[in-house]
Amino acid sequence: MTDTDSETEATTTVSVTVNGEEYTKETEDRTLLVHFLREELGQTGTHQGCVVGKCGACTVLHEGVPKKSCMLYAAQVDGDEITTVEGLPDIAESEGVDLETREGTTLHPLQMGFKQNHGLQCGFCTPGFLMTSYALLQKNENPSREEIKSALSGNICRCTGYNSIVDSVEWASKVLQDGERTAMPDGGPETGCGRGCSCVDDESTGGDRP
Amino acid sequence: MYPSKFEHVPVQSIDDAITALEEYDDAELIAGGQSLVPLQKTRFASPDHLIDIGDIDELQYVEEADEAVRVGALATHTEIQQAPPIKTHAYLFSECIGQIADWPVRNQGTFGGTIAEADPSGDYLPVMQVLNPEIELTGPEGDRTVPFDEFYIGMFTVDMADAELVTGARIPKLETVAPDAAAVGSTYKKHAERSGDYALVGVAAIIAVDADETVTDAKLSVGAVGPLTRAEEAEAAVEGTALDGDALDAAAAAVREAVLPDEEGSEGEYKEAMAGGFAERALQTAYDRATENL
Amino acid sequence: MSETVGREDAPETDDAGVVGDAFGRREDDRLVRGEGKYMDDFDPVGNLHHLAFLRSPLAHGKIESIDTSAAEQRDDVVCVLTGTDLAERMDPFAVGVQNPPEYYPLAVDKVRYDGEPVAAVVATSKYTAKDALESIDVEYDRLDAVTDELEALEDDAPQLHESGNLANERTLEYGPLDEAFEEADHVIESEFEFPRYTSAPMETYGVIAEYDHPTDAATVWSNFQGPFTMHPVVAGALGMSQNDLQFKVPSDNGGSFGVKAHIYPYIAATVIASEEAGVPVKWIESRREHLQASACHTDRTQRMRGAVSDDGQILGVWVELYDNFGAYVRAPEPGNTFRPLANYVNTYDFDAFGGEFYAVQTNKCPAGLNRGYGCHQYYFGLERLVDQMADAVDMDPTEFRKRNFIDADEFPYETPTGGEYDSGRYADALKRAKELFDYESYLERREQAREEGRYLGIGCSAIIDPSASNMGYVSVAMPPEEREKGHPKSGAVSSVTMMVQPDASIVVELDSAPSGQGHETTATQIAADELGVEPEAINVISGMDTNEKAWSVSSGSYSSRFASVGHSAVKKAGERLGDQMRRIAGELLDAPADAIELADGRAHGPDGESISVRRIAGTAHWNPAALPDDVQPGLRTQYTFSMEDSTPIDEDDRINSSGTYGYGVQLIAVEVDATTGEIDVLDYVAVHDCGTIVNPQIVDGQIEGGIFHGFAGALYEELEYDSSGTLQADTFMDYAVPTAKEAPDVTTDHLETPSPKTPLGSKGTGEAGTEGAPAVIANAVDDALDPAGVEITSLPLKPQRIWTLLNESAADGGAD
Repeated sequence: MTDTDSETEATTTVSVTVNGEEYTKETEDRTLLVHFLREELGQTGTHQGCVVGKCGACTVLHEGVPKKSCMLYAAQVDGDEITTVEGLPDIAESEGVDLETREGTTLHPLQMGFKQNHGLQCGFCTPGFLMTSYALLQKNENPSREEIKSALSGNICRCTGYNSIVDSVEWASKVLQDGERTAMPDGGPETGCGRGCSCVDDESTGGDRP
Repeated sequence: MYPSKFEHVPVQSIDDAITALEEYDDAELIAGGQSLVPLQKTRFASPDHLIDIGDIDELQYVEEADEAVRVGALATHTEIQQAPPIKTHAYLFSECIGQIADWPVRNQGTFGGTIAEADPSGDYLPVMQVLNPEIELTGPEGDRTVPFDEFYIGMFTVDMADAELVTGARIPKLETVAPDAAAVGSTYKKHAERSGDYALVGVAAIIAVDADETVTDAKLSVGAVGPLTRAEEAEAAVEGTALDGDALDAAAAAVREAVLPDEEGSEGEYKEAMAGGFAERALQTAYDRATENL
Repeated sequence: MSETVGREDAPETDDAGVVGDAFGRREDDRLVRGEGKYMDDFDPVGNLHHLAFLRSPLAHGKIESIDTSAAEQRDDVVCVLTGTDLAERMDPFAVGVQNPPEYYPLAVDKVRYDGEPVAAVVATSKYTAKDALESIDVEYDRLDAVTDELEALEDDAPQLHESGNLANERTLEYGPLDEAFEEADHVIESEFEFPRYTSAPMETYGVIAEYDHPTDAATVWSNFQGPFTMHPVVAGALGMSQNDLQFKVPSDNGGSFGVKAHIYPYIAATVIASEEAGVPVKWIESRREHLQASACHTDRTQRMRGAVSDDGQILGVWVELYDNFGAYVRAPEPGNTFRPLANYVNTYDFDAFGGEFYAVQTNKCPAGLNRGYGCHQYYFGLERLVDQMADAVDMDPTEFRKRNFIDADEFPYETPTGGEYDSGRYADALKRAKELFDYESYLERREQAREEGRYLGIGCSAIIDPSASNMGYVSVAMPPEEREKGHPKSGAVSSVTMMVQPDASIVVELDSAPSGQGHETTATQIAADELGVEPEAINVISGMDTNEKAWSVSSGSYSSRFASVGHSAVKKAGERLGDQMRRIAGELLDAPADAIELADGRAHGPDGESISVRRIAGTAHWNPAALPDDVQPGLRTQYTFSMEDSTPIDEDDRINSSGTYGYGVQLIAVEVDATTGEIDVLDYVAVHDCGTIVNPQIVDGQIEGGIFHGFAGALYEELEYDSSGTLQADTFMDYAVPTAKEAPDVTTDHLETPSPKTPLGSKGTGEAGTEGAPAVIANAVDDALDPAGVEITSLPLKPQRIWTLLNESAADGGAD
């Protein structure tokens, strides 16, 4: 509902469910969803990287569908469900596919895939890539490299050159298909891994690296 | 980066939308917003009111009818692209949509918003020109239907009154384009710098053939080079042929002649040449798809 | 898919060590969960207000008037500042050139580039700050603009500054130049042009400033990457002492690539805004502002002459370089021109080099650091020239390079310009690259393609990748007689503080604010090995704080220096701390300290006895009375590593401008589609050497990411200005950053030839990929289009341009 008169701001009350939690906040009608999430709700994992909706750093799931939150007004998603990067570990736990890093951090297999395959450097674009990849794997559990690149063509990265990102999504898709929750080493001496560590107990998830 | 102030006016029905359009002076409709929101963020557009029709359920459909596929104004690009009736009966439209922008943008952008905006660089336009769907509108004066070639007037200009909105379109099935033909094929070819960019050249082609692989009917439209161009002479150059090398050359030359690049100098020359080149590719692919179906 | 082949000649490392492993990055744990704290993600203080800049729509004009009254009257606006206000409050920024411009953070009296800040508004929210800009009224008197570096030097060119458009001019001569060109059998002359593009990090500039009136001090948080020479520059301009101006840089930075060195004018503006407004102020740059008015490398015209003998020996190179610095040459420029000073001869052993170097100002965004920093532009010309020289003497370009390479047994190698290359095996790298590339097979494929009338080409580039800049090199901008009047400058240092806390957990503090290079991880690896502890026992605090951390002017994360000086500082700090721990252990175990070994979180004595690190730490903190006399309580050390031969420039303009010199060879095969002008990459191989590799995944990532920037600049991106000086590419729609669909597959391999100058032997590697990429692509396309008589001397190679070149060449009669 919008309240406006000539002197006051045009504000609206937005109720959304974000990562399973319900929020109701008043905000300006013109508040973009990315700013609503970041500033009203304190979920700063979703980032803003450009002005005209090209870079995808702001990608979230709207009712499970990947969309650019900088090109949506919070008012447009009133009553709807939003999923952001902060929700991935819980999603993984609820599906029984969560993995743990050597320092005890809980990650979704996609997040672990990015870590394993050096799919991030500065990390600024990463939440956007994770959300789009998550949605991709939901509808296509075994995408080809070309399909991954197509799905991710709306997410820009300036650090990696993209190939390690495609590796990361491939890695995660294999782990998710196997359905087995293995102890996930993330590189380091006790795993006995050398370069490009992606080997686990099960060699089939190892990708092409030696 | 941040839009000017506006009042968000959500409406739940078409009637409410029309009422709101009549009531507010400085108002824009927002459907998907994938064109409008960036314009607002760069402050090229600063309407006082945004009438949000996004929740009007009755405008969200892609349905097969007898001779057409009906698309609602709020069908998203992705929904249309993946809809079985579109893939089966209007394949070039699905192929076209897959080359627009990127997946997240296609998930939010809508048919109605795109059609009403009539961006001359938009991928939709050549496809619409060759299919010539009936565009359905409604307003205070009631409902009306306009064929696309009358609806689309020019760059960013359509036949739509202030308080009217697009409600949907009837996309003719390809097989109705040339009902006596033995088979039909179609394609949309795009030349752009990067994946998802606005086209430098966009070509839509529909080819109908008879049983001995002669082209009986060709429809060819070229967008993004300049004004939307229906390449009628190119169509004539291939009709009655088996699309041999000469026919293709003649068609490409006719396309180069027909387009009016809006850039001058080498940029314009390039786009003109690419229009011819991609017209050839489009004709060839449409033809191959038609003859495959024989 | 990008493929990394095995490593050759990995140096001997401790078997139980973590250095050398693909150790999963520690930063990733928080970054993949969206828990990174970038500049827009945290509020360090309350009552934050927001800053917005009004920017010039003109490239060149006089400011007739600025009316800020309407903006000031708004309830949501605290204050409005103009350039005049700033000029009253601060001095222009210092810069080391002969004809310095007056450079303020806001335009004063004149605007000189499209997007130059003209006014600043402090408001209650970022949306309203933008609203308020619309009520500021500026009257401009338009002036003619000049954007070309050669035109700007003509007598009738529009003048940007009273000091003129030419900010600096030096002629430098080294070695037997006259002889070289007289004796040459061939002198090749070419003119090359290099365009503007930018690494365009995903995170833009961000600044938060809080001016504290009672103390007249300010705290600034920003994603400034260094060099921290800018700290005294800003403090000096603001008339503040450095200890009153605290620069803090958080650990998480969404990419920098050099561009975030030039955030300092915005820092100054934000500090003054906070001072004026009396509240803390925050500014987050928009993408459009970033493309218009942050920084990018210089575009340039580079005329070159190469002297070569019939048997393929390069005798000398002369360059006439017109560097386009945009509207203001600003510190630490003219680094774009002179950063490669020590390595102007690149990988080649010729000893005659010279040139005329012009720093020209035009109506474009002021230039600054961008990944590659001076090398990628320079090598584009040089490596093209090398191909042309090879052609003149009918040699295969790779054979020609090999013939001229500095040999593996010539190190340390002194270059004519004062460089000291530490180590390298250039010929081996070339050989390896050719193997991976299957060079012979591509020669055949090219033959075949030419017979069929297709345009297939092979390109090669070899580049020296300098890292850890010696701060003294920029003084080459001033002639020796001027330099004598000032003080010598030198140095490439890095400071690390390391502490073992009472429970044996360890803190390592860096003086670098990394932006994706994984410093927290490699520092962990090095420290863990040195102290013999588990990586998880260590917390690495990256980021910077000029009041609370150890640092010096060369501190920061730029010029790929962390792997040289940063790693070294961590290693040496670890050694020192380890020494202390061994001495304490020796005391407790009653054994000689030098017989103690630190491993597995314990100190092991010579006879099998051991105590835990926890016990050592406990003693150091809880019972200092038990410590040996010369060990201080607290188990904390600070080490500042300094590159030994980063010494000042001499009177012959010779200086070792970098600390370490990595290198790389790239090979690429392309096919050009003559109908569309599109370029298809068939194969791309890169063999690099950055000395000892601490983390192979990180090194791969740097090479691949660097290559991608150069690839993007060569084929897709350009910060293009029209003739009126308006930037044509101010959004990501027009500035064509490639997507995953455009990314080439690259095969990488590494040699490890340790540097004798760093304790680990590691060297920087972040810029190597991008330094060689534009040159290798241009060489390949030139080769591909050779049958058509098309020469490539500039970038980017967009399809329309290639198509036009082919058409023009056909019209002219085509092939040579």
